[in-house]
Amino acid sequence: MNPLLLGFDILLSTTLLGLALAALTSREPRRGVILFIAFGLLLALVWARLRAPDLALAEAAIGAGLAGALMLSAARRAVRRR
Amino acid sequence: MSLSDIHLAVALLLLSTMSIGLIRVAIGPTPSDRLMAAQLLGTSGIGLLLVLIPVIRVPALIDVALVFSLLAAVAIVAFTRRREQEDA
Repeated sequence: MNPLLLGFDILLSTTLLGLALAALTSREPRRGVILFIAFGLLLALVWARLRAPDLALAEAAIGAGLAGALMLSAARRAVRRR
Repeated sequence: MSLSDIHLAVALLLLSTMSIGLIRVAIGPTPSDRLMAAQLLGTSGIGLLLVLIPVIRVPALIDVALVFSLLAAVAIVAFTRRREQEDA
């Protein structure tokens, strides 16, 4: 296997794991949502790397785009109600 | 060093700048800083996808890059709507 490709995969997966941990452990709702959007972006990159462009398309559109926008407005209401 | 190796090296460089930019998403003092960093991440993600196309030979990835750029606008709209209502 190409060492450059191996380094790419390792960097991608460690970044994804660190991002997931940061999103899960954040106490502030808005911070968690923005971290989740970034997580969706990187997950779409992982699907693209695994040669699944349809999954990457769905993840980018639904996972990061629609869910991110909905969760941003939900976080806004949670902050206002508090 | 073949051409796809050069593409791969550029992709690796872009990915490392993305992971460094993540620091700003995590520690950014205000939510605006965080979202701006996330948008920067999306932009470098588009570049990364386009560079990755000749390496893994999946031309359909260009549509994914298109959706990435579409998604950035949606996130910005959702975020700025919040600010407007908060000010009012």
